[in-house]
Parts: sequence; C-alpha cells; structure tokens
Amino acid sequence: MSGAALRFLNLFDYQAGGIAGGHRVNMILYGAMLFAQPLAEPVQPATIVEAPVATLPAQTLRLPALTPVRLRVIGEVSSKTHVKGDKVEIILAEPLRVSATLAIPAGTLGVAEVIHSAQGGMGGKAGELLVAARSLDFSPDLHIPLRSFRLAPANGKSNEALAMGLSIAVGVTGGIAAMVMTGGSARIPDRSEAFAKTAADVDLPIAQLQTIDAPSVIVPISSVPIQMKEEK
Amino acid sequence: MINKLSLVCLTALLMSPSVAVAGKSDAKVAIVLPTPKPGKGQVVFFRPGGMGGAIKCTVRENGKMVGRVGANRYYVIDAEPGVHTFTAKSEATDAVTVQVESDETAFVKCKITMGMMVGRPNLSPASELDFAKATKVKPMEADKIAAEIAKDQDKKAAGAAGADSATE
Repeated sequence: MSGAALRFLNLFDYQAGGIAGGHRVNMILYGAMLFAQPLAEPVQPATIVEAPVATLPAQTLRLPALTPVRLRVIGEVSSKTHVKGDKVEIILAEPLRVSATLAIPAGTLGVAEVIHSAQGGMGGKAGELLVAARSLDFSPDLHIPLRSFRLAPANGKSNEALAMGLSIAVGVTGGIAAMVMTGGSARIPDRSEAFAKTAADVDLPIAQLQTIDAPSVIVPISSVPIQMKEEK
Repeated sequence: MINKLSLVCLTALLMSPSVAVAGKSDAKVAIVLPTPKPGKGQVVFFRPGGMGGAIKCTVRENGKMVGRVGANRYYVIDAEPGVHTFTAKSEATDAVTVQVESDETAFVKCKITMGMMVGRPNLSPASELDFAKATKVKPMEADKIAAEIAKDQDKKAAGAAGADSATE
C-alpha cells in the first residue's frame, strides 16, 4: 500500500471518533484526492506541451493510380513551331475529386511533352504532332505523374490525293509540281480539351486540397422512367 | 409435277432480291484486337489501301525489323511501356515516335506517298478511331512475318559478321 493511502486511513481513523457524518464525506473526498495525487509530489499547474510538427502523422489522402483527369492545353501547339522534346503547358480543366468534399483545384498547372513532330513534306504529306502528358504540379515538391494522354493525334491537312491527281492529270510537269506540294501543318488549338490518367498512387496533403461540394446523387439510368411514344 | 414446282419455287426464291441481298451482305465484323500482355503495351501498325499497293511497309525499331504491313493489312506487336521510335524506309526514311502505355494499345498508320522513283512510306501516329475507320484491313499472317523477321535478323547478322571479317 502506498504511503499516501496509509496516511489517508490513519486520518480517517482519527476523524472517525466523533465527527459528524458530513465531515466524514469530506474526509472521504480528501482521501480520494490523496489517492489521486501522492502528497510527496507537489501539484504542478497543468501545461499543454505542443509536440513538434514533424512527429505528427501526415494528414494525407491517397489519389489512386488510373484516376481519369480532364485537362486543357494552354497555347497553340503546331508541327511548324514545336519539335520533339518541347514542353507544353497543360492545366486541370475541372477540380479533381480526391474524396467526397476535397479536390485538387481546377487550373492546377501541369506539363506535357511533344514526343513526335513532323512538318508537312513533299508529295502532299501532312504535318504530324503527338503530345504526351507528363505530370500535374500539385506543389513545387509534389508532382502527380500522368499517362494515357488522349488528344486525337493532330494531323495536318493531307494533300496526298491532290498531289496524286495532279501527277496523273498533268503528267511529268504535274508530277514535279506534286512532289513540291506540301501538306498542312498539324496544330492543337489553344484551350484544347484532353484527357489523361494518373500513373501512380499519390498521397496528397489534405491541407492543400480544395473543399468542394459533395457530389449530387446520381440517378441510375435504369430508374429513369422511359417515356414511350404513343403509336398513332 | 411436284418436283418441277419445287424447282420453280426454289429458282424464284434464289432470284428474289431479299436472298440476293442476304447473300451479298457480309456483315462488317469489327476487328477484335488482342489484349496487351499484363504490364506491357502493344502497337498496331495498319495500312489502309491506297497508292503503292505493291510496296510493303517494313517497320523497324533501332534497325531491327519488328513487323511488316501490306496494303489493307495490320500487324500487332508487344512493346514495353515507354517511348518508342519506329522507322520505315524505301528511297527515303520516315520515323514516328509513340508513347506506349502498359495495358493499352497505340496505333501507327503507314501510308505510301509519292516518291521520285518509288513510293515513300509515311508512318504517322493514329488513334483507335482511325483504325476503326479502316474497315477493310486484315491481319498479316503472324507466322509469315515471324519468318521474315528471323530472315532479316540472319541477314543482318551475316552482314555484321562479313564486316568483322573484312576488318580483321
């Protein structure tokens, strides 16, 4: 038994001699206090010690791989002006929902890359352009890798049929002219819409996510009443 | 008498437009491409008809033959995810670079354009929609292409060995 408890029992025996019942209750409460706080230790005022921020578990939400992403290409990209390896600016076209009420804000910048570019060539060959999305820059230190960029491959106007027709119709002279004839350049207009998918799981700090409205209830197609036309 | 009547009926039936249409209309069957192997991607090379029908489009990567497509044909290869550059050559060389993603299919169109002496192959990036539009394309015989690839490799190896012996 601890020293504090023994002291309490002794005190209780001493008081139990002829003190009124109300005082006994006080004694019991006092005893309880003694049990709770050893007398040897002085009572210190309660102080809140803040734990260092680094030791707190990071508050993150996971954005899974293969999440569809809607993007927009910023600035015109053309096979005339862009070459393989050129970087292309993209932005998130709409908030990318990570949970019911948290999302990556629309307008978040990203990077795409020109992986194939060929100018229109002889014989009416059209220009070609192929762009692949690389990442969304969630923060300077956190990039969300992207894949499966879908923007219809931009091919310029092909003049191959015209060149062939010219060659057949006008013979040798036409053939030479047809060889010199070039196709149009491929271009992706400014603000073109594109789609991609996230390439890997990424843990995003909740503090940096945007709060958005919860999604509205989606009515399954099967529950929508179909209006039948009356046959006349 | 009954036999004669049956014959007349059968003839009439055969000559009727409905039967004629039914026999003629080979419903266009959508091309079903193989699914990429787990963790890998695939590339479909296809060549819609047009000029240069006699010229085949031989596709190479880093000089190594990976496939060949004739007019109105397609050929599918497995590819590691990443960026791939394919070339095709006749009197001029054309190249195309595509991004291959795991579990997905990339498409490359080969067309033969006008050249000085012979048609020039033109490889260009395409989409699934472009491939779907090329309804007449049929698959190349895989065994035949595999044999041609093996032959090409042997030829290259022999050429390399000849070059080595010449330098010794």
